[in-house]
Amino acid sequence: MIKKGTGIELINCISTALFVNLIKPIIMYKLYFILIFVLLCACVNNRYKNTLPKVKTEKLKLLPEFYFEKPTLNSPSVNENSRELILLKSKDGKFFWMDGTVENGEPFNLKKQLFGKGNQFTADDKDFPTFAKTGIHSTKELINTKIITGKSVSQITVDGRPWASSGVGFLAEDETIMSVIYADNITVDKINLTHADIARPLFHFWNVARNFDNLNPDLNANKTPEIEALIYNGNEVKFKIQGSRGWQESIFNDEILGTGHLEFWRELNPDELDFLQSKYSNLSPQQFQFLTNKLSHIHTGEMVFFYINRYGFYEGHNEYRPDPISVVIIFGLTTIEKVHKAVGGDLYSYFNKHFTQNPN
Amino acid sequence: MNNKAGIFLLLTLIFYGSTIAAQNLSKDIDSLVNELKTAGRNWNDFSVPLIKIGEPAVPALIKNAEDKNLPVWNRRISIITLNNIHSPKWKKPALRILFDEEEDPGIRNHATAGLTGFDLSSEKEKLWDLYQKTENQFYKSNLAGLLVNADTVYAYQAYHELYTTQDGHIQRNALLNLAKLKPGEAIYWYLNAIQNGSWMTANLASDSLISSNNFNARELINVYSQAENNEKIQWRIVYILGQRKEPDLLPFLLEALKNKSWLVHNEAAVAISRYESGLVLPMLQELKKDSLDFVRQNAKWLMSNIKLD
Repeated sequence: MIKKGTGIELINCISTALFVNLIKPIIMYKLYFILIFVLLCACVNNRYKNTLPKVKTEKLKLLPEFYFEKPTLNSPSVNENSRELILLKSKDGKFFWMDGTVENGEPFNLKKQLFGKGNQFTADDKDFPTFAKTGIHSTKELINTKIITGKSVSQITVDGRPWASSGVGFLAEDETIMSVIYADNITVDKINLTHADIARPLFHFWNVARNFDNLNPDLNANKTPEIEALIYNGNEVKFKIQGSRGWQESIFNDEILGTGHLEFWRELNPDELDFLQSKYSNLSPQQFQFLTNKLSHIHTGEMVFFYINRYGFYEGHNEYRPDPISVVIIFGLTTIEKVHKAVGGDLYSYFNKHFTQNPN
Repeated sequence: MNNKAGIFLLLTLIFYGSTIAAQNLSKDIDSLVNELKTAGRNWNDFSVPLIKIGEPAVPALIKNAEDKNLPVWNRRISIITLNNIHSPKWKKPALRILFDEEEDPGIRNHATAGLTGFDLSSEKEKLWDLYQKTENQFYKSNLAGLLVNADTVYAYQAYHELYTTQDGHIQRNALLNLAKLKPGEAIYWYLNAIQNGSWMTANLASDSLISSNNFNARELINVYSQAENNEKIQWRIVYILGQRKEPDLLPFLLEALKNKSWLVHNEAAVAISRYESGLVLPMLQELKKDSLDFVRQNAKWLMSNIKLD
């Protein structure tokens, strides 16, 4: 029975009740596994706010089985074995499911010709403990970040600007690594998602593309489907992959490398276009086209998928930046109305503005 | 008598055995070299075994390399194979190809790699002449490499030109060679590179200065003072001096902590965090009261991140 009293008395009462009702029986009956389970659950960090719908494995068939009509189950879905399943559409109009689970796998290292999944799941907990637990940075931690992966933030910035480690650069000339991470963190927080939520559809794409390459040799030539689109939260997301010679080194002190040019896009639906036309009637036709293109098209490379998950870094304003707003709209993680509100009702300025404010 | 017959028999067997082995090797070489004449992307399947065979494969490979009736690609892969074997027998034919003005430019450029390491002093005038006539920057850089073994004065002139006119890998390579050719001038070139070099070249200069004990930090601090409006140069100097962890440099780093450039004051904070707390803490107490926000914030960060004695 809890008596009325001071705060300390209340805490004492709660802890006594907890001990008597929970901990004591565990110790008495030697049910330590329950304690271990509870502790493990507490340690497992939930870096996703966006939960995937669950599906029973028997309800869907994976490739090489095809569907001639679009299945009604949601894509992506997660089955009872925690596998994340994605629906794809082939160029001849058939549909099939593939496993695109985001997880840590065998090494992915272009230099060593290793093409595993790499580390897709674990974030940089040494430099960003809160981010590693919650999927969102704490501003206080960002203010106090002077070193990432053992490199000073200044050095990462110098290496990331144009004509340094890459011609295009990972940042614009007036941006810093921290100003970009800080600004994107604010945006992602405002749309009530985490960086892991945003990395996930990109990794889903990457994993099915990898899987597909692996599967190709085993498939009968006549059966080999050419993928037209990913079906993702009801949207048909089209894509293009182009390799390149050599690889791009990371600006962080990590194993991440990149080689591909990747493009994603989808058609905005009439409701979305109506909304944009009503809110952005002041824009010229060219400006309006710029805005709709930014919301529905991404050009990027695979290394940034790893950057988003590990550091919450989307690159600064360059031609390889997968803006979090673009990702959530293309993959249907939220609505245009919500992102319009999250950026203060001016998406056009949002996409035009460089991130020059460092956290302070 | 029996013993003599036995020895005779053994010697005969050894002779025939080695003759058969030599015939087999010769067949292998002919077959592999023939394959190189038509090989496409799979050329390594033939080149790698030839490199393993080494010297005995050189004459047949030279024939391929010099055969102008073969496609350029197949001559090129024969040359790459020869370059990897690096036989003295390849030196003369490689020079012939290099100086042949009728020859395909790509083939001539590939021949340069086979000549590295050989004494080319007898060819110095021809090499210098060719260097001056050449326009392609990569080819020029390869020829400069050959001049190192022909005439160091010419080599120095070539690398000087490449350093001042090129960027990226070629400029970086030129800096590396200028410092090797005249070690006494190395510091001058490194100081120059951190101010004028492209990213890659400036990085090499920074790393070299960090590991060098032959320069006076004052020289770098002077460059820092003169580069008032160039935060990248100032950052680089703080980065270099910050790695040295010398107590004498602490006042400079504390001053850099007040620099308005984000790049510079953050690098200074990281550099100071490497010092022992006993040296730094008293000065940080003062900085915690500074009028500038970023100075106070960095002082606070340092106080919680500084190494404890």
